[in-house]
Amino acid sequence: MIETVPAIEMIDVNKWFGDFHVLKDINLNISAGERVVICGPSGSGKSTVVRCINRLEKHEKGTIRVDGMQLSNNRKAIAAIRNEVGMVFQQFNLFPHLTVLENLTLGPIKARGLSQSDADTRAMALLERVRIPEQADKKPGQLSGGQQQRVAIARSLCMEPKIMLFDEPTSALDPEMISEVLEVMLELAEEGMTMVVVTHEMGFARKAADTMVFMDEGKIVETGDPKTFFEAPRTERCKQFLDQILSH
Amino acid sequence: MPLVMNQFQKTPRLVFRMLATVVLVMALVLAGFSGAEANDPGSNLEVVVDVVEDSSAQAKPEKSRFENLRWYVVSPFTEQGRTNLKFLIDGTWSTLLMSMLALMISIVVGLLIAIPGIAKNKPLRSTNVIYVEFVRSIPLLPLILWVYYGLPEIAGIQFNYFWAGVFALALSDSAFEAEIFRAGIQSIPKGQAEAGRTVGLTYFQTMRYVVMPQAIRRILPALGNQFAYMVKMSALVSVIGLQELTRRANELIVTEYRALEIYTILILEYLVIILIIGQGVRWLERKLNDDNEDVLSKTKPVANSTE
Repeated sequence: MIETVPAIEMIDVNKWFGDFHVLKDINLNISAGERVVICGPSGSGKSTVVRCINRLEKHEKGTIRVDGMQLSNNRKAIAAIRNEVGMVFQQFNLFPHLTVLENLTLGPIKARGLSQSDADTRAMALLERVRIPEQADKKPGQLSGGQQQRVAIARSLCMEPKIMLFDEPTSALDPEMISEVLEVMLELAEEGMTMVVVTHEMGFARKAADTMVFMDEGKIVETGDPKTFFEAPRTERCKQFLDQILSH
Repeated sequence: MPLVMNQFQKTPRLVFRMLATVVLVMALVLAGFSGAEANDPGSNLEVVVDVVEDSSAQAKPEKSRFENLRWYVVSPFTEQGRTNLKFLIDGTWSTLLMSMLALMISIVVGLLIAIPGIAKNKPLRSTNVIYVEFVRSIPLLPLILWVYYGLPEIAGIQFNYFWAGVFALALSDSAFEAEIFRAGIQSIPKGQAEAGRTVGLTYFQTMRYVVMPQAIRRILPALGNQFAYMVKMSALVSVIGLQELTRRANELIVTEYRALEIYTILILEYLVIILIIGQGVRWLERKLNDDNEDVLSKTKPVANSTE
């Protein structure tokens, strides 16, 4: 095994919201190309972990390194890290006043200085890839939830990130739209993108994950490969959780 | 075709509503004109005598209050009335220019004050609070007087009355604009700014391209309010001598002794200006919203019409 710089490294990360201790000594090592699925009950801190990676939340203690760069208050470091990390939100967060195409090209043009035509070409290629090129000139409000989330994925990919973070990407979707989003995510996984996914979609986790992480009350309770994780969870809490969500 | 119909129906309704208001008020005024002209096209002196006579001799009950009006002083049908009307209306430019300049300055200042108001940093936030609370508490009239008469003594700055008016109006309004902008920015979901940051935009780029375009749409009605308010408040600048609408009306009353007729015209002048501004803001609102959500309802009828 060749020793390389890990894509994401979290060492003893702690975070508080006021008096509430959301993250307790989080240690996580994610190598390039690895697909990690984080699951756990709500309020367990899984979204916060993901949001700390691109500094949407600030951790108070511990070290986070992304692609070898340490996260601190240094704005340049934060900007550099955000440049390599794409993010997909539960609520899509598309820009409602811009067209689908403009949603994709805003970042590349304003942050990367790409020309309009280069950005348009890149954006159209990505819209083809998420199978909605015909919606390019519509506003996000005219699209279905599943289409919006695919636009959101394409928007992140348009910045050509090395790492993609997904914060419950299918939780706000109608059941029949979940699969179209998961398909896009599976394709991305097959292409070797480094992914950190917070989700309750265990079917996706079985197919795509290299590593499962189970969190509860701000701690990482269990990590492991999907096979052992699903078939023989080591901790009682994890077993209980899996029974709950897999029983339906 | 339905697309054209839709726009065609919208605009006349608004214009009609506006014109109807003006015409109604004008009709009332003109009803007064005709009565007054037949009654007594006398000189100023006679008017005064008339008034004195009326008040002393109450033995003429058949002469109604309406007949005492001297509409000819502002009637477009008499030479004197036309001269007076022109004098009054010539103040429009000052009123408008002053309000526009003050509005532009107060929007810029208001925005600069609003930004620290949404910062996480407490000292920054309190500069916003202090400015807003302090400036908002100063009544406009004393502020105008202070800027015009006080500032030269304390700072050696002597504005002429136009710029003193602009400065006082802009300062006073900036606190309100700041609160409007803060409310607008805070009404945009946090996820929007977060999404902006994750696609690599800086704080200011996120504001400029993601948050503000959405916030402006929401605060447009409030901004329209402020503009109408600004035009009305500019009347107070007449006290330091700027020849805007109200000042001119007051000066004309000194020579013509007819307060009701001239102030009625004055109010009509403000009414027309503010109605026009109101329609302008509504038009802008519609235009921005058309860009936004209405695209769907617009494209649908077009698609149907091709069948």
